[in-house]
Amino acid sequence: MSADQHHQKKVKTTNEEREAQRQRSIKKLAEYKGLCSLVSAKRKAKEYDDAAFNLTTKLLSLNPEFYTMWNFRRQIILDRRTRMDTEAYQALCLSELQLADAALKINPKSYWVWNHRRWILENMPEAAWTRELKLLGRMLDMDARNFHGWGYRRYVIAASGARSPKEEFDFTTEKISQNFSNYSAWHYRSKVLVQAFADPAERAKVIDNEFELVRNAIYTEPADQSAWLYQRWLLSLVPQDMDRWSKELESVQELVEIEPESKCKVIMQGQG
Amino acid sequence: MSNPAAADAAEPTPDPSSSTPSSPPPALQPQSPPPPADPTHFDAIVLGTGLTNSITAAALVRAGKSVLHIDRNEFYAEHLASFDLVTLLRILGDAAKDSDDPFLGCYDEFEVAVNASDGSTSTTSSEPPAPPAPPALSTDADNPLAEAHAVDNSEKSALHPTPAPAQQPPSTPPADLEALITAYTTDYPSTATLFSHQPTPHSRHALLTLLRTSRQYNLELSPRIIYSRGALVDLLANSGVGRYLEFRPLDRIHLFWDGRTEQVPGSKEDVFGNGSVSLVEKRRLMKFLTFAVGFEETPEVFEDYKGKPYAEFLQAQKLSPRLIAFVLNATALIVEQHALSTLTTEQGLLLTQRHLRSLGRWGKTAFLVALYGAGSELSQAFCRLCAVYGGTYILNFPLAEIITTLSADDGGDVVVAITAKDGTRYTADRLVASPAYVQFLAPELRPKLTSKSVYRCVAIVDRDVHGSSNAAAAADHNQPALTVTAFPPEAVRNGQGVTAIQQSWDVSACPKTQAVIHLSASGDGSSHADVRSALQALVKPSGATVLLAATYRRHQQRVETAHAEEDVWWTAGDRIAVTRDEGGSGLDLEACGDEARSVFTRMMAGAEEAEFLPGVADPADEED
Amino acid sequence: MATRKKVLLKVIILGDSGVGKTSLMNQYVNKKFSTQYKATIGADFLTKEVMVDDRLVTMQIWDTAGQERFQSLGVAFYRGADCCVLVYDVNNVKSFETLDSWRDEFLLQASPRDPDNFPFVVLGNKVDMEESKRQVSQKRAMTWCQQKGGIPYFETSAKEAIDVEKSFQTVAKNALQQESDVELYSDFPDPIKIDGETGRQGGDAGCAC
Repeated sequence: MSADQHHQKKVKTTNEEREAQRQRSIKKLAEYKGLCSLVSAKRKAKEYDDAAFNLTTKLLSLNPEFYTMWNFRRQIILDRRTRMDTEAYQALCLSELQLADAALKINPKSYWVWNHRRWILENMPEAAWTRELKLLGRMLDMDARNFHGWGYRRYVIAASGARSPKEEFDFTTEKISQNFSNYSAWHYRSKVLVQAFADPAERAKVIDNEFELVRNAIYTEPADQSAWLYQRWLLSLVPQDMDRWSKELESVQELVEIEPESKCKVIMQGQG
Repeated sequence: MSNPAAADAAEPTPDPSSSTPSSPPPALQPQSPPPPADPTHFDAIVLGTGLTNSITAAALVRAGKSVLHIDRNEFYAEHLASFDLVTLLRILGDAAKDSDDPFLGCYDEFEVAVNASDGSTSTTSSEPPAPPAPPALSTDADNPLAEAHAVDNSEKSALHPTPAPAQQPPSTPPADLEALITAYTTDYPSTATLFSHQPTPHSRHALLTLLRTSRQYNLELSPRIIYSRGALVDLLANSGVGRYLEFRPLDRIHLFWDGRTEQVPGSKEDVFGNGSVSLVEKRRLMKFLTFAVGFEETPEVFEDYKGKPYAEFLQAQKLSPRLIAFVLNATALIVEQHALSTLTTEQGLLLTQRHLRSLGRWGKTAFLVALYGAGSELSQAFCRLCAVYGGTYILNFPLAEIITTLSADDGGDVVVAITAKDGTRYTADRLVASPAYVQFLAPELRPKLTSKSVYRCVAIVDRDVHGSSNAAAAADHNQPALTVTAFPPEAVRNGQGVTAIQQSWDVSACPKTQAVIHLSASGDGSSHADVRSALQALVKPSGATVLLAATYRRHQQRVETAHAEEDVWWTAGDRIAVTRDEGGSGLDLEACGDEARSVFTRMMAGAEEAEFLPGVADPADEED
Repeated sequence: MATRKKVLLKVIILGDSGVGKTSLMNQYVNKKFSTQYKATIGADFLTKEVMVDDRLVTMQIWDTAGQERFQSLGVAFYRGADCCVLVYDVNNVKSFETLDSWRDEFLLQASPRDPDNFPFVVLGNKVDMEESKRQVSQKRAMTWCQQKGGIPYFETSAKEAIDVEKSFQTVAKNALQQESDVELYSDFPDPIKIDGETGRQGGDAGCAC
């Protein structure tokens, strides 16, 4: 192909772009460092003004892992609180939760951000539990195995009493149907099942369904440990029920016939 | 190749520390004023803005070539384009009148049916209110002109899309809309199979109601879905083009089986949750899928079935007929229905593997649906990349002819010229053209074109066709699901199979709560009746109302190439390439990326090695 | 058609070639200090994070990439815009006169839900040049903006950074107003973007089987 460059527009080569990229990184880093030193100065001087607050917003939006900034921010919030009426303080806390939302989007497993949420909820005039549960739903939609999310959920339910054990049981059903290789979900299910179904007759019926559910998981994916563990836990609820034990054993034997290589053999021996 | 920019690209990466801090600013440079005269010679001219050509144009520009990219149409993407409702009807209507146009000539047998049922006798009164009532319909049913005036400005101007900004503001004589309404309501098509009512003033109202919200529809000529993992997604990610686009995961895949649609378990979770497959079947299916993910590792399992039908191999895996149908239709979904029976075991396994590897990345299925229409948006996104790097774009180009001047030793120094009806002329060393431009080539350079019929239907329905017919579903504000439904050959009247896609507001296909259904059939002996009966079967269980259904026939053009496996026609010493017609009834776009790569590679042959769409800087996440 | 909740705002800049669209973006985004910027490939789009009413939003400013020269800006360019900046050159009366058709073109192609209240901002650029060259008076421009429902108007110089920051702050603010309720975990999850990061990480590893 002939190759006169007819065009006035730049055609950046990969190398030029790499260099441009490098320059951008340098600039970005310089900006970040500039921000850091500004905030540190404010912090040392114990200046809890709006400028300091906005700087921490910016910095934490960039890097939610900067835990001393969260500490500083809480100091500012406590300082502000003394000069605010309840309504304004409530609004501040809500916008604080929004900031934490954004930070969790960057890193859903950030200990500092979960910690900050907890502090806000415990320090706000009217804890926004409903909002919190909605957020948790979304978080677990995105990553159903985020154990931070599950742990935090137990905390929220316990602290708020916003949802009944039965509702939480249904919630685990939903999550398990989305992805049953989820130890956190099965474990949480075992906790809420006992609370949700106290009546012996009702519980026996539920347990029947549970065996069915877990058998589906095992047949679909025999190598998945979480289902086997849940089955073991279910069996421990009915130590005397010989019918149940032999029925499960049969089912496992059938599986071994189709799948002689699978791990279930070992587990069956362990149970049997 | 003396192009300085391209030469740079081929150099090894310089040591970053050697660059001076005063190197040019990284971001935008001030736009230089437009050149006094446009360049009239280019390294390559690309005719047609379909996806293959758009990717090719972008790749050539990224390799430092100058490119002029032209389309005779006033819109991008050729047969992959997507339109608002009025424009779609107008284009298909024009096609019926102008069969000589190489683009429009590919569409005929266009019919529109509008739901004419009177609201007062509706049997759906207990159901969720469907689309919002039109704002004060004219009371004068006999005067459609008055109604036409009530349609807002943008609807009217939609009849004349893309007016030049420098011209007067859009003001279209309402006669156009009047003509449209007259054409589509009084020349009522004979689609009594679908709709029991004859055209009435009411049906005129119904059509007007839809036309009023025309711009809320994005209706594809050829609906497409994209594998979540695959060469195309990689290309979107690496080239930077993905940044221009938005997607949503396909929600479900359905199979029409035993007279009803049921969800195909495509993933482990689907298998786990499926209530109608026995435990043993679940295990067999999972076992097969686990094998298929890495089937190359155990060649002994399928060795005896090489070259034999995939279905036969599946049978040997002890899968029941129903499971076989699941595997064939879910994991080989992108294959045209009528071609499934001739799928070999190796081909089938590759498709199943590709499908399985695409699972678990986004959403519950292996596929993504692009907002506003995959083909249209992807094509425009690659064109934008090309423009950003200096490519020149002219739509609505009044092409008159393509001239090639061959030097004495044939295949030597070929220069291609294209001439517009006003005499404007551009030249280039290379030419890439879609089949719609073949007739402008000199007869001796033209490939032989054959055509194949694809029967299509696009229907607007008032709700999710997979939803229940009670009002509960409407109470929560979920939009209709994004689904694909496969009607295997045996499920359709004459045994050729139909594929249906449901789209919703989630991908900006239509207003909230409504759904758009695209159906297509392409086997020998297929007909309009196939797609219509599939639509009926799909809609019936939910009690959804079809508000409008447009059926038409598409002539997919086939370029006869030297080798059966080769899609591109090459002539004039590899200076001219004719690419494939992309508007078939298959669902995926992977082939476009592959084909663009092969065109690019062959065009750049002999030059220094040039990378195909090299990566662009990603400034987002380069924190130290 | 800003119908979904998000904190990413898409802003597009329209106007005749040579009025300084790209320079304005460049001046605004590539400022020193205290603001980070991201420039993508070529003359494409720039992103800038800005604080609007105590909230951090990402503004994505799209250039026409030259596709306006032969009236070949595809409809995809306009999709989902939250604000449209119309630019003319105060020293070039023709560039002012075409604002009408640029506005119409935007309303036609982007087809916002509420065209009467869609946020436009008009910038009269190149006010740094000597007064004798000026062809469009401030009064004339402001009258036009009033007639179009009170579009905010600024006179800018990309070259000397006159009122660029101020005008884009208005752009961000008005664009955000379109977004009634910006909530991160809304009922409508964000659409999927396929970017370089996706390509490298590749989502969840392996298949679900």
